[in-house]
Amino acid sequence: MTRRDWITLSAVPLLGQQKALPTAPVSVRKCDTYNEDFFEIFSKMFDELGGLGKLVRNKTVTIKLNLTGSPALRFQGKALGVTHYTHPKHVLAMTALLDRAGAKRIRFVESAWGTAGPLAEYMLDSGWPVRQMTTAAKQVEFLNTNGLGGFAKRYSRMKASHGGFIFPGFELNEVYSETDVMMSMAKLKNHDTCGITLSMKNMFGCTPASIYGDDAGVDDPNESPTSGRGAVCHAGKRQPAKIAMAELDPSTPRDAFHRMPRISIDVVSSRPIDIAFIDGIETMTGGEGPWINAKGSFSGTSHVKPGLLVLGTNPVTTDTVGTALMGYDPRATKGTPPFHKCDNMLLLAEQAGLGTADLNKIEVIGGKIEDLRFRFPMSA
Amino acid sequence: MRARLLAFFYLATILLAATKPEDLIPMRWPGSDPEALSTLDGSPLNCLLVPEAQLNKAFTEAAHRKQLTVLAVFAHGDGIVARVRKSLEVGVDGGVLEGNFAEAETKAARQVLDAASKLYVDLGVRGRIPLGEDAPAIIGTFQGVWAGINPHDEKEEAHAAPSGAPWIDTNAGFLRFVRSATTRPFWLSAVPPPKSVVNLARYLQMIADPAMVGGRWVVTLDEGFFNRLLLKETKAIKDFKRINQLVGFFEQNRKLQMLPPYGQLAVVADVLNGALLSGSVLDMITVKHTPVRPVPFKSVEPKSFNQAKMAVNVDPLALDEAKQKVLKDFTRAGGTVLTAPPGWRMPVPREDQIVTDPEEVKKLDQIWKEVNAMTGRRNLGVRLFNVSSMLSNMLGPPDGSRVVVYLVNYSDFPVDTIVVHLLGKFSKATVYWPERAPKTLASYDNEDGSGVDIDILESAAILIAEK
Repeated sequence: MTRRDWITLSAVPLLGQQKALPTAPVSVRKCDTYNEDFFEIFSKMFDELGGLGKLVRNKTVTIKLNLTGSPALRFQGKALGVTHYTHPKHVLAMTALLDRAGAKRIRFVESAWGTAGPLAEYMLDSGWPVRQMTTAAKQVEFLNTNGLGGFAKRYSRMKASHGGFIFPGFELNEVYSETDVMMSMAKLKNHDTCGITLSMKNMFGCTPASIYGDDAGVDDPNESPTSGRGAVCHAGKRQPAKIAMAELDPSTPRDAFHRMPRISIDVVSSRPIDIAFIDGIETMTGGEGPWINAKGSFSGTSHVKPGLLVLGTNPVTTDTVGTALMGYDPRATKGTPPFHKCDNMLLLAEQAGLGTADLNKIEVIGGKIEDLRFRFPMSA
Repeated sequence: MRARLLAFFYLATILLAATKPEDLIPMRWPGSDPEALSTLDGSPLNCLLVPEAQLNKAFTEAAHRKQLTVLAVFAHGDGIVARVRKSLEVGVDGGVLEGNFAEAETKAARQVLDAASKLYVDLGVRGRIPLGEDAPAIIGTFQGVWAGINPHDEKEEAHAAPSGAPWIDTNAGFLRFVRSATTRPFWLSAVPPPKSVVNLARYLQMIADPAMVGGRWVVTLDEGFFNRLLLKETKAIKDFKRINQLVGFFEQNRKLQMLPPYGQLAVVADVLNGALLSGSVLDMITVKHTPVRPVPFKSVEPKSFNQAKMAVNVDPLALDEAKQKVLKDFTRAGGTVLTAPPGWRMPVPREDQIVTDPEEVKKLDQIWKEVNAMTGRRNLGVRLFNVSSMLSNMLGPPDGSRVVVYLVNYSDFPVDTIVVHLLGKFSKATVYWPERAPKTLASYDNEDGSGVDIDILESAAILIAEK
């Protein structure tokens, strides 16, 4: 741990004491299969949080899916939704539910891996029932936010409310600024670099590869990106295209374990999440996708069935509960799993003022964490 | 029920009329016990490839009583003519030379078999597959790749970058070229990989891989499976029934293979620039599910490009002036030709080579990127979605009244929700599976023409759409 890390993280509890951090209840459910009536289940979970109608009526709801990695990469050949992608059945139910609750428009977004092609085709390649989705609500749209294209014509500059750890803000597809309600539909997973990937880490995928990708233009976006964001974001080997804000301090460590938790929080701070959903019915442990192998941070991956659903309106409280359900201490510092290699993004989110990561300050509805806990690798 | 009855009668017809080379459905049979032949009762497999050392008269007679054709298999070694003559004494119907034989040896063996009016099958080196008019009645090679998804390399470091699709090992690419160069029946005699567990799914993949493009795999069970089958162990019998089911499925639909390749992308390639290698441009395009029509050098003439909109010319220096003019005329008529960079040339494949070398792959990658850029998201006949674990082959008459799409699943899991976008309007679509009764699919309009959804695919399927 560097001196800078130590100062940053040791200051977190103090800051937490100085100002009251936002908190919100989190609804949890035991749910063992994908053959349930999710329309009813989600409806009840939203009711426990105060109701969906007041959140979305006459609003444009943008749903950030988790479609990480090429659809061609399957974990042990299984369907993507049971290992590392958002499950299509959840998306269908959520679409119908949002429509019934009065949402004006529902937009599905993701920066699809290695392409700026149509998101609907990427979803078809993932085995998703796109035609059913388009008829599940009055106005449903799909947009690959890796660049422009489709109905999006420009980028919007969105600044991190806390000033940013690495980036002061981001140039994002305009769909994100033209959003009334932002929903992150994530999967309950470990992450090779960030320890966990839940609703907040999912938002990293909002960053367009046209600007933050390895093959982004130096000055202007490359609207035909074909790569990930390893050079700009993970390793910090280069800056994003110059139309975007540059890093705050290029002298900070060029280390993904330092950078990625911070950049993820910078993104959430720039494009706040209004509804956080985490699917843990079936998932994978040890990493965020099938490309992680035995040499990864958790020394292996497996397919598991925790049988869990988590829903909240504050991403920090939701992810904190999710982390606890995985068997980890949400307040663990660097060196303790799942943050044995990286900084704890939950504490960084606290530091950014986005919410509390203190379980004592979070109301959990629908079940007790100790009854529902499913132990992920290296949990206590 | 009607479909099953039809299937039964069709298979019965095949069994009774299994004298023509194109009707022979091969299986390697490393045994000599006549009693064991009851294992094949009801099977579409009607041609046994028996190692010469295991042949005996009682066996061949018993096989003939069951309408089975028996071929002696000769591995490379001394005295091939004498060995062939000896096999004729026990009443075999022909001989198979499997391995790297010298040309003089194959010629001599063939003369002996021809003189006895027996069948000669050449399963030699891939790079020397006889494609000319004087080719044997059945051609093939022993140098196939064992089809399936190339497993993830556990030695690789964990990546933060989730990159592309896993590679599917396939024989489909080079077999597409073979089909475009000859109408001879083609057999592939790859054997199960040694020291590895071969599950049923891998056998099914190995059957379907060449069958999708009109070839036949010489069904070869690993020693343990074969022995368990002869001992009539329940699981072995059950698995063998599945093998028979899939073989029978492709045989029932074999007449579809008379249709030419369909699609708007032509690839000009030949033996000299790697068309017989696995991992060639044809395989690369196959993985992308772009329907392709290979054009061997001898077929570079205007009619070969009638249905094409795009063409890839892998090795422009290999074409003479007249053939280069054909491609020029194609571009003048509005077609697009992607030509390899100046001075670029695939090395002539080595005799023992069956897969492109890493250096060649690097070179091909340049062309591949260009092909990708050229084809983009264009529908050149069909676009398939959620098929990363599959390969496909599209056939159809030139008038476009009907299209046939073969789909083969190379994963060990069924795949659901496959979406097919056909170029042009099709009013009727039916999917045929080995495991299920045929199903009429509802087609819907989309930007390309018509779309259909296939609910599930286990081992293979054939989609037939009609205007």
